[in-house]
Amino acid sequence: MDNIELLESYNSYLQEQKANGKKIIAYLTHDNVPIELFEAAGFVPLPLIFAGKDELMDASHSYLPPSTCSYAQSCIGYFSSTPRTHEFLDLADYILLSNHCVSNICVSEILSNNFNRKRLDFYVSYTRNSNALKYYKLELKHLQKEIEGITKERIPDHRIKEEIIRHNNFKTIVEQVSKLNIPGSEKLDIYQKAILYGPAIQAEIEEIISSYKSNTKNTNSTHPKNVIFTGCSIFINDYLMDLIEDAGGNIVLFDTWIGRNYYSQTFSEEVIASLNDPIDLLTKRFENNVYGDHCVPDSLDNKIVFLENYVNEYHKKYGDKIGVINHIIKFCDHFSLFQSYFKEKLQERGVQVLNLERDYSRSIKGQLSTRIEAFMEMI
Amino acid sequence: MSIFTEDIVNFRSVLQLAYNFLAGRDYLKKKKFQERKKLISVALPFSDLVFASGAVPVFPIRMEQFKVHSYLTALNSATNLIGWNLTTKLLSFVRKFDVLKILDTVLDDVIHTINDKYNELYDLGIDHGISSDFCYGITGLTGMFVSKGKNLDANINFTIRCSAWNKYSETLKQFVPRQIWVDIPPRNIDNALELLTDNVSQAISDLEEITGNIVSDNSLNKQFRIGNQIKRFYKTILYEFSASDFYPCNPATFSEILALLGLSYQDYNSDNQRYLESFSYLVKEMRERINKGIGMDVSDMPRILLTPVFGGWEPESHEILYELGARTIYADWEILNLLEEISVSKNSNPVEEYAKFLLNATTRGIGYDQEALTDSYIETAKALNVDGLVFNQVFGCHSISNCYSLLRRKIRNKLEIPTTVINFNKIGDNVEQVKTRLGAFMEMF
Amino acid sequence: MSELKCIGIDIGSLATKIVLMSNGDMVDWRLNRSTYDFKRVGRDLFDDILTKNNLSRSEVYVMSTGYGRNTIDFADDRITEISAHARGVQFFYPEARSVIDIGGQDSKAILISRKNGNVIDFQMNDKCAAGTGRFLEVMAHALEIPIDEIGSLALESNKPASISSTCTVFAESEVISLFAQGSLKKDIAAGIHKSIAKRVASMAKRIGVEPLLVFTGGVAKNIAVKKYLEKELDFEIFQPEYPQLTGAIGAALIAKDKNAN
Ligand code: SF4
Ligand code: SF4
Repeated sequence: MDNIELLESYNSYLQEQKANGKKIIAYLTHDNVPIELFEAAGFVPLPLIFAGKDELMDASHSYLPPSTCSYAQSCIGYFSSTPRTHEFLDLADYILLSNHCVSNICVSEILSNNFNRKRLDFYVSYTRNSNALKYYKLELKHLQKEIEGITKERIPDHRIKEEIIRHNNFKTIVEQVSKLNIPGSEKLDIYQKAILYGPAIQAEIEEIISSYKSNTKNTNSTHPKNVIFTGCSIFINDYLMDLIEDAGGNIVLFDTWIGRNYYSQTFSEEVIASLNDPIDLLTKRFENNVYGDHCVPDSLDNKIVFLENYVNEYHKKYGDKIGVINHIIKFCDHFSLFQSYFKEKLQERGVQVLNLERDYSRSIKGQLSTRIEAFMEMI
Repeated sequence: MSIFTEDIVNFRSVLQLAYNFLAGRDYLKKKKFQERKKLISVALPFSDLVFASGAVPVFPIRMEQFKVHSYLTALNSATNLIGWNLTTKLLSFVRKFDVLKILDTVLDDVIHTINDKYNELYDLGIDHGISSDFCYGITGLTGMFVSKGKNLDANINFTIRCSAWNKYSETLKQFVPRQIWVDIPPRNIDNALELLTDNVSQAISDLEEITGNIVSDNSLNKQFRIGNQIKRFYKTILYEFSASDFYPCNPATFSEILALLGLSYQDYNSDNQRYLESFSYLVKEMRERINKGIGMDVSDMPRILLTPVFGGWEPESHEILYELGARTIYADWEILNLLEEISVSKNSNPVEEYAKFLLNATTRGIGYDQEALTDSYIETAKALNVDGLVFNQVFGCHSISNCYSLLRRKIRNKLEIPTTVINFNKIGDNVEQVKTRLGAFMEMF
Repeated sequence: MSELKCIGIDIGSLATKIVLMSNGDMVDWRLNRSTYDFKRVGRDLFDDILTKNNLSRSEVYVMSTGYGRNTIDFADDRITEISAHARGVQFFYPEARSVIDIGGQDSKAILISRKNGNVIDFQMNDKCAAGTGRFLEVMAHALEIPIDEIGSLALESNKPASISSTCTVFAESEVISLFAQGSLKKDIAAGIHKSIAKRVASMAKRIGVEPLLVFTGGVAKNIAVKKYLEKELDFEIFQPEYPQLTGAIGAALIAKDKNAN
């Protein structure tokens, strides 16, 4: 069931921000986007983390061929479908064009050209070698200048640093959610909301955590089919989570951008203290992002090793050998292409993997649930 | 010379190019086992550094065993690579063929042989687990690595804006453990060139380590000089001959020559000097034929730019267009700015010059966004002065194919020439649909 | 105590199958075309099999499987067709290590553990119909041949036409144009079978299927698909006596195992 309430309250939140004179920057949600810079300049970041639907995908086909990833198609659909399902997107003043993948570039460009959103560019190198880090810094400085050109005000370094610290603290709090003994769907709701609002809802999340902590129900040990979820993120109002839980599954780790890739990208206090220039700190974060799927040549192998270790640790701790669901949004360049390599490598290491490829159409739902249930029966 | 020998003499160059493409396996074996050279795979025309290092660049399909047309084999054994002397033995052999159609027949056979192999390797890529949702190019290339990747000593990758391409490159280490990477910054800001220059230097050091050779400025410059000459010849064919009202051969064959050049340009058939020679002969032969009036008047045939084809294309399409009264031009490397010369001078830093070439191709040709890419299509179409453009939308390509809606608008506003799109999935997959589309397209003229 | 009777009911997109098993033996079975009302067809077959065997609802344990398994509200439990097929083929061939199941809308390849007979990996086709019974149906229609005859016609050919399209829609127009160009029906039919076998075999190879492989589902009755699959996989494959019942049998056997525990 669609969480209409969340969208409505987010709508009010954005309206309020807008009424306070804030500018809104929409962006396709992947890692490496320096949202702290936006916030330091007084902008509101608007992550496009909403799941697709047939109507949304269909509405994109006059701009992109249907063999584009279903998430990218849906992003166009948010803006072009009638009736509009996400009207608050009209509030966005800018669109950030980044090259997380080529669909990210195409969609941002189409949104900017056809839906009248001014475009801000932020390109990231494909490797993380020392020159790529220098290049990342150049892009950050460029973006900063572009933003300053809009606000006609310099963003003081201390403001950027404050934002970095604020987000850092917030992510540390969000990380605690991953350790709670609550069903995966509840964790996911929190992660999605955290990414949507950012540190603005820190108090709320802290409250949720403390209320859960006082609740002693242990779902990790009572739930028979615990799994790790990796690959593409689950976006807001996707039915996938229901299918997994209906099949008796419980996600104990979201190894996706909406999940671990988000909350684990933090710095220790020493690192924060040692790097004065906030741009260096942001660059450091890019350097540390060894699992991010944008980069080559070893993000995939790093991920495989991480998952293997996690599965083994989990086995030691709880006695369960957990499987991995690799969620692949159809036509995703990053996760679809090497799905069999990924599965093979993990299976060689004794980890069971379900490559769950899907688009956002209704007609695929039955097949998806068969696959998920069969996987649950297998593990 | 009689017409008879005329025809054999002409186009030996292109047939030699074809032979060298198809007979790659034996040539590479010799290089690897007798001359102890390192084989390094390349894709897209990025072979310069490998040549400069003394290793042998290989576009991996060339490690396959191809069926070689008997005429090509005879031609090869009869001709001396340097002198191009015809022997009587060849002449008597040739009598068995319909001489006037030799070039058409043989080239058509060559293109189909290569494409059959491509399809075979595509299937192998699918069997290996590449999802059929991906472009033909990447799937076929994966098949090539599954098939013969183990013969390679290393592979060199260049990051481009196509994320599928970069991710595909990441998976190649399962076939070839030694991977060299040249990370090209996505756009040219501030000192991006300096950073890229450093990345190129790093790749050169990797090559030095693999080959045990020193890559000097001279060896780089020597390679760039050869490359520049090849590029000049390539451009002569694209700009001068393809625009001419009189063609040295049938236009479908002309397209096949362009297709063969496009394919072989990626690794220069593993031998830069030999490739240059064939190219220079080709230009000479084409010019001679045009001057002598041997060939075909094509003045009333519209010139159609069919692009892109490097990710895979339907080789029947130029035949179809020919039958519909048009001539087809393939010019992808030019569109992507990969036929730009690399400046060579005493005082220049060749590593930096190469970096400039890469950065220019990335930002202006391949384009960091669709705006830049489509501009480059428009510029090339204008420069080539074509009468129409057929866009080859490759199924599963999320990078280049996605630009068509923008490109169509630009063509309408800036060029005002007819355009259409054909869909490509796999060779032979939907020829009927291509026929219908191209038929309707040609009715626009 | 009398032994427990188990009923497996497999609600496929095209056919509904039900089997009654007692002590691991098949006692009775039914098969009927599925309609949009899965539940009713299932219920009718269920009532019929109970009546004919003088059984009451409380004397049987019912396990549903297949595409419409969730619609069977009288079932005691449900299982996916993947597990059901894996278990079902072992009824016919205890040594089975892999399954290829080609049904109306789906095709799947399943790998069975040597150790315990459980599923260790599986692969399913995506949404597209290539490599399913539907593909054969569309092609038979294009060739104007009854679906039951297309397999034996294909076997008459020794020169299969090449059908390169993987997409059903494109393949259909390819078939029509081959026909228009004068290719023989038998060669086209052979080409169609080859193409479907190729597609399914490549999916099966992805999970490393191995002998003994059992071919199930509605399409398993088609001898030409079997022949081309064997060619593609390079080993002999086996069809059970009742390929369409495999899922229902498997469901019943799983029900039995479950109750034994
Ligand atoms: S292709 Fe993959 S990484 Fe890119 S936008 Fe789509 S889901 Fe995200
Ligand atoms: S640009 Fe398109 S055709 Fe080329 S590799 Fe990328 S996806 Fe394939």
